[in-house]
Amino acid sequence: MRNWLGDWLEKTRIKHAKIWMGVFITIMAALVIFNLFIRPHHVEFGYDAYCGFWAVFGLGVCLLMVFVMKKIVQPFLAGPEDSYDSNE
Amino acid sequence: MTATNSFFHPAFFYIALAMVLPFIRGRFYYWRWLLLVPSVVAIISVISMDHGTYMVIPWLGHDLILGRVDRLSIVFAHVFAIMSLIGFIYGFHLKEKAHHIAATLYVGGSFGCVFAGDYLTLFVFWELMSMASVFLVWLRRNPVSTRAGFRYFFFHAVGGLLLLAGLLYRYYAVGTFAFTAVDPSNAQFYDYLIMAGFCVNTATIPLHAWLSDAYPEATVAGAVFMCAFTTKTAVYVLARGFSGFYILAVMGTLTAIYGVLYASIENNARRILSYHIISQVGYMVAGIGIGTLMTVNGAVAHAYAHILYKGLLFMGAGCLLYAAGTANLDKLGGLVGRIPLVMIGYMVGAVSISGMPFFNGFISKTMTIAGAAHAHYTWLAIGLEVAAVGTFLSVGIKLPYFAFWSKPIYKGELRPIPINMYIAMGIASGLCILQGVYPNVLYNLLPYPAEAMKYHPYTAWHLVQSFMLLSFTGLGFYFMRTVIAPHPGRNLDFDVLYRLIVNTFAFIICKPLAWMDNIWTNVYRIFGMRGLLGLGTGTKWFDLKGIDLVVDGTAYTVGDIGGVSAKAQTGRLQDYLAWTVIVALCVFAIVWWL
Repeated sequence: MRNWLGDWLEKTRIKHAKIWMGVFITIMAALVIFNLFIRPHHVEFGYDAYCGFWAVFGLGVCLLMVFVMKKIVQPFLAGPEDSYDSNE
Repeated sequence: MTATNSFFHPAFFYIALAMVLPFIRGRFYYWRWLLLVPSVVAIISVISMDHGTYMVIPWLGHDLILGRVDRLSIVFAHVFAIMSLIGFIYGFHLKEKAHHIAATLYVGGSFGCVFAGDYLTLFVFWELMSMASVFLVWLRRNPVSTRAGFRYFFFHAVGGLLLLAGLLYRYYAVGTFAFTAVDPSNAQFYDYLIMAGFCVNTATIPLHAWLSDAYPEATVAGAVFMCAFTTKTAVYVLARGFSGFYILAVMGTLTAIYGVLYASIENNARRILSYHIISQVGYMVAGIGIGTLMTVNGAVAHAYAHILYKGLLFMGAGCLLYAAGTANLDKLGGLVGRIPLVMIGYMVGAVSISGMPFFNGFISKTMTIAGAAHAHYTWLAIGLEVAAVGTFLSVGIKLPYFAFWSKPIYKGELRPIPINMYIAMGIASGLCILQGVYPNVLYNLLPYPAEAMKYHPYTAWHLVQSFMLLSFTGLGFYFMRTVIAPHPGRNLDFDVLYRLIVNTFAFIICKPLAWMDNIWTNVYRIFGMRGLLGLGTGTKWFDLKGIDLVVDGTAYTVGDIGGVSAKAQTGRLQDYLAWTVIVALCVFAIVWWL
C-alpha cells in the first residue's frame, strides 16, 4: 500500500504538475469571486471590507517577508553551523 | 469538597514508574509495555476526576496543595495525558531505559505543575521538569547536543531562580504561597519576577533563544515530548496567574511574528519547527495578555490543539532525521515517493498549524485572533494574522516542499521507520482532524464553555477568508521559491546577547577582584617583614581561601557558561544546582522561622 501510494505521489509530482497548478489557480480565482458575495461579519481593520483584501494581504506579507528576511536580514545573521559552539 | 477518593494524581504513576524501571529485568524488553500504563491510567484519572482541592499536605506550617482540580487544570491535564500516550508509543522502539525514565519524570513533573495549588509545590515540579528534560537532549549523545543541553539547563536554572526569588519576595510581602490570579492593576515587582520566570519557559522574546537552540539537538523521541510539555505548562501557569497583563499581549504578538521571521530563513527542519513553537506560544501568551473570556478560551484551545499538531510535526521531522540521518533541508529533497505516509502525517500537522479549515488549528487560532479584534486590539490582531501567513509559508509549504517535493532528490539510504512511529502519527493525525471537524469536542473542555459555544468557526466568511489567506500565501511562495531556498548555516539569535550580558557581568565582578588581589599580593610582598609575618599569614590565608576562590570560581563559572569544556561543566553545574536547592531550602527555613 505504501509503495502504491508513493508511486502515485511520485508520478503526480513529475507529470501532473501543470494540472495541479491549473486547479490551484482556479480555486484562487473562485475564492476572490466568492468574496464579492460573502462579506465579513465585522469589518475589523477598515480595509478588510474590500473584496480580495485577505488575498492581497497573504500575497503581500509572504513576498515581503521572504524578500526582507532572505535578502536583507539573513546576510547579517548567517554564521557557520557550529557558531554556537565556538568559544568566542 | 466532594468525595476525596475521586482524585488520583497522574504524576504519581509516572514518578512511580521512573523509580521502578531501573530494577526491572527481562528478555525481549517486555518492560516497555509498562511505559503505556501511566498514560492510560492518567487518561482515565483525568476523565473521572471531580473539581475540588485534594492532597493538602501540611509542611513547616504551610499547606502544600498537590491537587487543585478545576476546569483550567483539567483541560491541560487532558491533553498532557493524551500526548504522553502518543509520545510513549512514538518512542516505544527505544531500548534505552534512561531515555524512558527521563521522559516519565518530565511528564510527571508537568502534571505536578498543572495540579499545584501553591508556589512551593509548583516550584518543585517545575525544577523536576527542567532537570528531566535536559536528559532528553543529552541522550542524543553527541558533542553538539551535550553543549546545547548545558545551555538549555543553565537558562532554565536562571528562569527557576527568577521564579524562586519572586515567590519568596511575595511570601515576605503577603505571607502566603497560594498560587492565585494577580490583579494587573495592582501587580508588584515580585509578581513580575514570577512572570519573568514563567516567560522563560513560554520562550517569550527576549527570553526565547534556549528553545530553538536545544530542541533541534534533542533525541528524536525526546523532542516530541519537549515540544508538548515545557512551554504549555508555562502557558497554563500564565493563564492561571497573569491573565489580562497588557505587556503579555504585546510581547506575545511580537514573539508570534519573531518566530515566523526566523523560521523563514532556517535550514534545519526541527529548528524551523522550534521557531514555530516560539511563534505559536506567542499566540497563547497574547491571548492570555488580552485577557477577555474569548481570548483566554482561545489561548487554552490553541494550547490543546498545538500540543497535538506540533507533536505530529515533530514526529514527522523526527522520522526524517531517523530515516535519513539529517534534518537539514539543503540535504533532503524529493522524498515523497519513498516515505509517503510520513509526508501525509506531516502535512496533517502542517495544515493544522496553519489554521486550515477542518483541522484543529483553524478552530483555535481564529478564536484568539477574533477575540483580539473584538476586544479592539486591532494592531495585535493584524500582527497575529501576519504570523499566520508566516506559519503557512514555513511549516505548511517551505519545509515539506524542500523535504518531500523539490529537486535534487535525496538518494542516500533510508533507515526503515518502526511501525510504532507510524501508529503514533496516525493517532495524532486522527485527533487533529476530529477536533477540526467537531470543534465542540474541544470547546466543551475550555475554561469558559458557554462563551466558547458562542463562537462559530464554520461560517461562509471564515472559510473564504482562511482559504484566501492560505492560497495566496502559497502563490507568494511560488513566486519566491528560488529566493527562499534554504542555505546551510546557523542564524545568530539572542543567544549572542545572553553571552554578552554574562561576559560583561563576569568582567565587572572579576576585574575589581583581580585588582584587589593584585594589591594584596603587592602589599604582602613589600611589607612582608618579620614583624608582619603574623599578619601576613592571616592575609595569605584570606587571599587563598577567600579572594582566589571567588575569583577562580567566577572565572570557571563564566568559562562554563561560554561552553569552554563540557567535562568541566558536568560537575560544576550540578554542584551549583545542588547548592541552589540547599540555599533555597535554608532561605525558606529562615523565612518560615522568622
